[in-house]
Amino acid sequence: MKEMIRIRDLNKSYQMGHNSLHVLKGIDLDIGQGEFVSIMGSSGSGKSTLLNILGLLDEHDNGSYHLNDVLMKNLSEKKAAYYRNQFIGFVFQSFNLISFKNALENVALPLYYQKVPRKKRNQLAMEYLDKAGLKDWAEHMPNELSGGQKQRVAIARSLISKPKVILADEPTGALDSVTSREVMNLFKEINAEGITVIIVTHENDISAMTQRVIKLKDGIIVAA
Amino acid sequence: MTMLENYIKVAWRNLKKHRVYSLINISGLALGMACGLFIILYIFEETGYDKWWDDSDRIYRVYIDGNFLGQEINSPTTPSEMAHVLRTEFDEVESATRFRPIRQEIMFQHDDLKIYVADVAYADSNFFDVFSIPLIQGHPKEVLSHRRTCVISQRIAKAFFGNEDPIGQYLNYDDRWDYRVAGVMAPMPGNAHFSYDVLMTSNELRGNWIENGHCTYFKLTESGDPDQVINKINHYAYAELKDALVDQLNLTPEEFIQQGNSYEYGYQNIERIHLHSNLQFELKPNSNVEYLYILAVIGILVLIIAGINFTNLVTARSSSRSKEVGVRKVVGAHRPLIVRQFLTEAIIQSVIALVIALMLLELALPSLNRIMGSQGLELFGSGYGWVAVVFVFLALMVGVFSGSYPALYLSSFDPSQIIKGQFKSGKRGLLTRRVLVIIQFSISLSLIIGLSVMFRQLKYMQKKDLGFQPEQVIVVPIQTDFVTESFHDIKDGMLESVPGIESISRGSHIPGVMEMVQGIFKVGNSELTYPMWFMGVDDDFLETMEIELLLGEEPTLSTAKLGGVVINQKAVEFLGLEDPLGTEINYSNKYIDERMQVLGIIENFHTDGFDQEIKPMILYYDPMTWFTVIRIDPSQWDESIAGIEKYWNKIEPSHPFRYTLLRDDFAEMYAEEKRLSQLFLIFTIMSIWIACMGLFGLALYNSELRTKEIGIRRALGATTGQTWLLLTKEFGYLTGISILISWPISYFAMNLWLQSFVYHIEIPWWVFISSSVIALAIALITVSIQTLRTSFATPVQSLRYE
Repeated sequence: MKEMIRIRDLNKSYQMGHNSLHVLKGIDLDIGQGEFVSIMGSSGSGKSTLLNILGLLDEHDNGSYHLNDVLMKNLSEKKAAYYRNQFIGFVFQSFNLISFKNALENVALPLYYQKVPRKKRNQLAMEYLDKAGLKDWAEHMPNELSGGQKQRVAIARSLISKPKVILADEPTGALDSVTSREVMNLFKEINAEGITVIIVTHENDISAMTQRVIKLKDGIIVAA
Repeated sequence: MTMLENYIKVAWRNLKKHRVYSLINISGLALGMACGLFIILYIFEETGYDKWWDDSDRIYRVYIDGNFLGQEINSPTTPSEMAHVLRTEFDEVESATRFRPIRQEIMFQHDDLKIYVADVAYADSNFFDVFSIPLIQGHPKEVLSHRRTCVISQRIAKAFFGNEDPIGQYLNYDDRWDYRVAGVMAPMPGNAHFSYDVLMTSNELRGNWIENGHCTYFKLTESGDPDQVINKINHYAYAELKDALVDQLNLTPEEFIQQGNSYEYGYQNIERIHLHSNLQFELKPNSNVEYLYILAVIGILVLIIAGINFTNLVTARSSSRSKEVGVRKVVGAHRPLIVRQFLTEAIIQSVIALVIALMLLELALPSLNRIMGSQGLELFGSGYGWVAVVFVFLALMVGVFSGSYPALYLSSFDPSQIIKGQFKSGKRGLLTRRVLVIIQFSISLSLIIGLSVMFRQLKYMQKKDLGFQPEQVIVVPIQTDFVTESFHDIKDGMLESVPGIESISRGSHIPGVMEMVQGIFKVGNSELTYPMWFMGVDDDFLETMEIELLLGEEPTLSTAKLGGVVINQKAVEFLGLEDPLGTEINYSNKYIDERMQVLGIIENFHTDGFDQEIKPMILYYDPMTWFTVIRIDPSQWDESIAGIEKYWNKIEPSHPFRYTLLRDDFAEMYAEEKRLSQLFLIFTIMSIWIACMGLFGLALYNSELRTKEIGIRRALGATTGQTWLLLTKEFGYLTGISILISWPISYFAMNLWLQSFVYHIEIPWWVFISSSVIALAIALITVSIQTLRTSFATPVQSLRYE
């Protein structure tokens, strides 16, 4: 299996006033292409930090991180934006939809940054909304959608740029159990198409639906 | 620790934590307050003129308003006898006095000490009955009641006599007469529309009613009506004028009126003179009440805008502290405590702003006084202490006003919502903020355009061809009969012995030094009369002033047979002369009959400011002139000046040598415009600063609102540049709207201003473009301070933002 993510001795600290908080303490991790992985750990274990670094939303202090065999080091802000746009799709616990744009526009947004013409990106966005079962909700604003619908819009948005990896931070954290299951099924379908899916969760039943569970404790991987 | 100490401590920590924000916010408010405080001081000073005289509400000045032989007359001058008539024949008048200002510097001498004094007048013995200037020495009833006595100011007493007693000592007037010092005036307790350093007893009691040279003031009785007094005096004057008209102009009063002349006296209450009187020959340049209204509006606007900006910034920042409020509530703080906390913080900021404003003003006052031409405004010890009290109150109000909204708004939230991060800044007021920014930027841009036009007009005035060349010409006043009589010999002597003198002449009225006079002329035997302006000059005047001779040969006026004159092109047009050379021009009335012949035509030249048309002008030979003009070779300037001084001190040993540069004398004519442009510059800088503060507040508010959105966009692949553009382009639109608003306004306003000059520039189109580019750049830089900060934050920071 081709490696999608390779991490060696990854460290990350945060400066808290005069003190330094060492969050990730030398992580080694490999995730193959097409894997469906969950990262678990208690609060403060560093799982969200790890996910942010994987998603190039934050920078690591030292160690190495290869994404699709490309070393992610000293990336310019522009380069990081490019990789995020081309390789990675994000799904957040709080959906993070832009409140003054409708579902279709939210899904189409990543294509705007790929300079795809408006007509084309709206057409593609509609296709992805359809896949997420929300074609009829395309014109609705986020505050007119249920939690599950919002998350499905967010997932459609994460897929539209055809990423190689989907990173989901507690994607079911704000959903009831039935909706959570529906969302997880959607992730499974995405994974079945060969996209690597990495989910951060602290719910056992959610992690049980993934192929591999990586457990973090105090910034160290204790089970992978 | 008391609760208040705790509030202050937390407030101080918050200020320190957000240093840049605190600096911008407090400095903006401080600037607004300093501006408002200055304007209040200025307005109080200006409106306080002449209100401190005893019974000032009953003191009136008489002025003349009329059209006399084609010449507009409106000046605060009256016949010499009027005060006497008012005092002795009118029951409504408690007292009346007159003085005659000497409108030039006079040399006074005591022993070997000679001082030129600018503010000198002849005054009546009852001067102090009307004007309550306190005397340090001497009795007000007696000091001016003896022949050749004078009253001097404390400043002049000190300058001449040091610590000696000045009473009984003599001051020599212009090397002519001695005046005995009979009294010393204390500094005037307030501002007045005149001030004198030396008042001398009047040496002329009676005159005719056609000459207006004295300033007359009367104090009404408590029941007196000024309208009645002025009606009576007009009747009286008309009766007296009859004979004078026949005598002087060979006209009956009826004929005089029929010829389009008018002649009437009016009155002004002394309290209104400084702000409402704009007559010819005012005793001091007066102000204009309209300027005060404009200033008051500006002051209030600046204060309101600075206050609103301050409130906006405080409010914009406060949403970032919602969590703090939530935590405080959770741990037991009830609403009033939180309200007080926010209010204390806002008040502390506004009080700091007030302190800075007072310091700024104290530092800036000397320069502002100079620019505004005010009498020396003082912040402290000026009797305006209560203004400071008003401002402390105002600072508290701004604090309460700006602190109330966040305090009441945030404290009203359910703590659980805030803790969960469900608190969001509302979009309420966004439109208002945008409108405010547009208004502020429109004002700033209009000011930038205005300033640019003003500087161009000033440059134009400085560079404009005047028709004569003032550079390298010095003006030396002639002060003795000896110089007047021996001028030609002196001229030859100087040309021979002083190096670097290119040319010498003299004139009665030099442009920028002394105003021209008007006379009524006739052409040939025609009975038609032409009011024209004339100037007495001597030989080589054209050469010295570098005035171009267009027709004829440079005449030696002093030796011309029939009074030879040169006239300017304007006079040729005015008189409608087709073949002007040789034309006979007459200046005649019952007493004078001068026949003159045109020997040369000269180019038009400016004699007044650029707000006046070039006048039809006659230059004639006159040996009784007051000013020598000397053109000097610039390469030998210093030796030449030293040589002239040495020479002059020999021929006029009684008067210390003094000279002025003709260039500077003429520049005095647009000193007012120069001052105005400096004031404009200050207002422009300040309005830009305050507008930037408003813009910064809006950018901050906007960024607060959109931080999360920026995080999402960054996660989806937006670059810093793209997010910067996203946040900034709105301000581009706002600036664009401001540009559209300010262009027509500034075009209209500046054109109106330019119309007050007969000679002015046309506003070039690119002034609008370049000023707008400057405004846009300033706006972008201001906004980018905030938008770049938001854009450069890592996406994680933005996404975590609640």
